[in-house]
Amino acid sequence: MKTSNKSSCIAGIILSLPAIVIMGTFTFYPLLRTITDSLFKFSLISKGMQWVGLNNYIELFQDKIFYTSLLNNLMVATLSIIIQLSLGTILAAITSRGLRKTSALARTIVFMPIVFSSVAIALLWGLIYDMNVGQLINIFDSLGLNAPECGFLGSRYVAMVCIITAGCWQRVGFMMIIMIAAMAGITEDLYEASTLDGAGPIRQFFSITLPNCKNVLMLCALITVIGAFKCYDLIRVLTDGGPSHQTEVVGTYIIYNAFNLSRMGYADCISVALLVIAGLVGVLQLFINKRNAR
Amino acid sequence: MSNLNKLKPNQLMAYLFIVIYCMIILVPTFWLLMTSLKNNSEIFVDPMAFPKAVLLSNYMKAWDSGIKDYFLNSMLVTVGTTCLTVSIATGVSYALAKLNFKINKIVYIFIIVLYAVPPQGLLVPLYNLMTTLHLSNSSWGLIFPYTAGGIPFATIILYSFFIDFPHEVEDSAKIDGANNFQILFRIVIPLSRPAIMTACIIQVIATWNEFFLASLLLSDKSQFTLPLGLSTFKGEHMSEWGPMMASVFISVIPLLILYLLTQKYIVNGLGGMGK
Repeated sequence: MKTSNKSSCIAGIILSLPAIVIMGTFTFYPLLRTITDSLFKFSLISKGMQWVGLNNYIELFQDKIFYTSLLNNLMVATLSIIIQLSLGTILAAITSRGLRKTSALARTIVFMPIVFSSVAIALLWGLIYDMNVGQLINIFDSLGLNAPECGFLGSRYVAMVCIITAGCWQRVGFMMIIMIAAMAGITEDLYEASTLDGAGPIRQFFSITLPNCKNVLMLCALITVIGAFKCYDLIRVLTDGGPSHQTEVVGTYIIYNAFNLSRMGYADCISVALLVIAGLVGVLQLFINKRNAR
Repeated sequence: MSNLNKLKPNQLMAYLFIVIYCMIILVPTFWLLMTSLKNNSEIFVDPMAFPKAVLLSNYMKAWDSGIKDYFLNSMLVTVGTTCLTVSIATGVSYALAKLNFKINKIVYIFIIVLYAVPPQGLLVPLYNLMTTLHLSNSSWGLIFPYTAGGIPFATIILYSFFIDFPHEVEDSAKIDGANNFQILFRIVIPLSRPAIMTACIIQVIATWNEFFLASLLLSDKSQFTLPLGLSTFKGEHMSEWGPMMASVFISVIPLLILYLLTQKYIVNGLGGMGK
């Protein structure tokens, strides 16, 4: 029930003003500048900006490293959705429906990595993946397995899988919490009725729990995909896009162009591409959500 | 006790799954702690063993090589950002939820759409903006962009809370002659402590761990926040895993304690996101 009169109009505007000012200055304005600046060529030290029109974009279309980085982002998105959603859902189902007694402790443990910073995670897993003192190579040796040739972080696909594993280690707890809330909303009656019909817990999971969580699952997928396009921290600290840009993602590639190559206009151009792609993916997912919800 | 005899195979598998997964979480954390307490030769010999002699000197070394400064900077930035973000977000969410004013919808869309913008898309102009405002390389130079980034999420949390807030309380205050601001500050906010707590905690976690913008906007080492300081550790002290893990542990401990104390709020706050 909203109040609707003149004093509430004024109050509303006053209360919204700080948010609008701060977000307008530090998010909206830079967003506009990114788009306009991508039509120029300039660097940190250049005196002015040189108009190049759409040249940056033409170059972007032919940039192999850009496509590599984009594919890496997609790899992150796909693997993250598969791993995080399935593990999160299974863990949520077990702790909220299966084994009630263990749930509190298990939840605390599983969710804990969320409070680690990405850098902490990167350093920790960097140690684990280290070929000299790392725990993983130790385990490989004691099991008699051969380690990958260039090390765990030395070649594109192995490194990406290792990076994604570290990322999932951090984030599965988050998915689990959201799924637990979703499962809590399913009425017990459905389960009781199905038990009377002779359904076991696994059958119940696939026939009752999952279908009723469809919307939240879609939401989790959306969050994961958006996160995959924003990823930066882990890659920057673990491999810094190396070796030779093989593990570059769009975020790190933007930084590389802006500060290592000092090509700020081009970096803006990549940023615009990222924004467009992220926006398209978001819209696509929302569209899929709406269709499924009917 | 007779339950143990009645364990069905399904339940056994479920137990196994949970235990294995919890081990997957706990074991690397255990390795972190162990490595931080060893010296280099011990780490080389057996990365997974207990330290022979617990080495607290790793922690002293980490603290003195700069972790102290990074820690204090992080505290300053986190407290500043959280206070600013949550207070602004409370105002906006209340206005959006309870007051009907003309540009209500525009403000709402503005905030939600900007939430989806990844910070990587803004970095060059943001960097130039902060340089122009003479805010680069300072804690305030971080607090403002962080606040801009944190307002949307805090607004989402507080908005869903205020929407469900019973209007009878406000109505009776209005009958007693209170204006909108008095209602907000004297009645609604004191009763909204759980939601405000949740928004604060989530903002603290996000700010303390933020790396990307900090790496962009800070070049003066004395101003570094913890994540940034940690990342330089990798370059400078490349093979000193002991002190490095000690610094990681130091950076993680405050949030870990906060997490253990306030789990309830975090879980409830995030669980409501499906709405």
